[in-house]
Amino acid sequence: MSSLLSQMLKGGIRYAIIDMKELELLSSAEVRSILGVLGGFRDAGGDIVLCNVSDRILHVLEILDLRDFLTIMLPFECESAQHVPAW
Amino acid sequence: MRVDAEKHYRILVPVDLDEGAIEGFCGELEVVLEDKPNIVLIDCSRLEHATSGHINLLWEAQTKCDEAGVAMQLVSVRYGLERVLKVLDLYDLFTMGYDHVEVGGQPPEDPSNSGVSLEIEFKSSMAGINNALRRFHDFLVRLGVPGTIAFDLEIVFYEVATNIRRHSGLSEEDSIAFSATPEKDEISLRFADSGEPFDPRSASFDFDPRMAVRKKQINGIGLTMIQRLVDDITYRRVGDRLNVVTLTKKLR
Repeated sequence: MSSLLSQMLKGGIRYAIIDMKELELLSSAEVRSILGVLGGFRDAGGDIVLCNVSDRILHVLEILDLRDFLTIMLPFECESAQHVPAW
Repeated sequence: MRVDAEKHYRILVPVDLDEGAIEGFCGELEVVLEDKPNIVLIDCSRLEHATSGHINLLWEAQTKCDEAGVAMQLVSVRYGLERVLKVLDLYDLFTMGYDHVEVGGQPPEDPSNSGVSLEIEFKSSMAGINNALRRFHDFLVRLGVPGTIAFDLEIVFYEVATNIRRHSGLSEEDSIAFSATPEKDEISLRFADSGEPFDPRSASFDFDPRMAVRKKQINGIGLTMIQRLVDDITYRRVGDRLNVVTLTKKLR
């Protein structure tokens, strides 16, 4: 996923929406992938946005102090967003 | 609908808001209100993702209860719904009940009564770790461990196992011994491997996401997750050849 996000950034895409719906387990690898390219997106005036984040994953993001640091779509916003499943 | 001896009615909010479901919910509420209960509990346990339709339904229920002079509480409110209500400045307009729901859905058994433990040995390859993780998951389900805690434990399992795989110098054919033992109101996870000595308590990270992104130094996330998701960690080096890490987490 990290390389896909890097490619998107190099291609001039400023916003990436990551659909977490199918994610069964949030490991440090996924967190590292997001944080590794997040700075590039934000420096370019964009962002990485997470959608369909379950309660369980939110809990893990919270213990890593990431819940407010990352941009997380509200459930009703996810419904109307067009996004690409990244995992 | 459920009613208890103190005349508290409980009505479940439907997830799918087709016409029939909305009519069913509103009809049930009207019947309940005719009975003039002490309180109506609106059960939101199924609303992992709340939509504007759900908000409208809750608002309608609140209005009807107000008109009938009956107190209403939202119970089993999940984070998604809570956040939507807060964003819309509606949170304070509802009364929240203190009824906790676990994500797993089924009421948990008392894990301390199970009297069972899990002992497995698996290869340190990714396939070996993933197979062992599935067995651990099944064990936690059988044990009735609440969903959120089970999820945390599975993350801890995965992070410890992959940490051993990456950093202990083991080959893919080397094995990791694992046991999970529930005791009273906690569970202990024990990992034993014959790799390089490493005490997971020795690495102390003050993980700061802003600094990590700015400096592009994304280290220590796995250990931070492990340290913050369990209540206690012990480490022993046995006979200069075996690492034994025991992680304990409260189940309630």
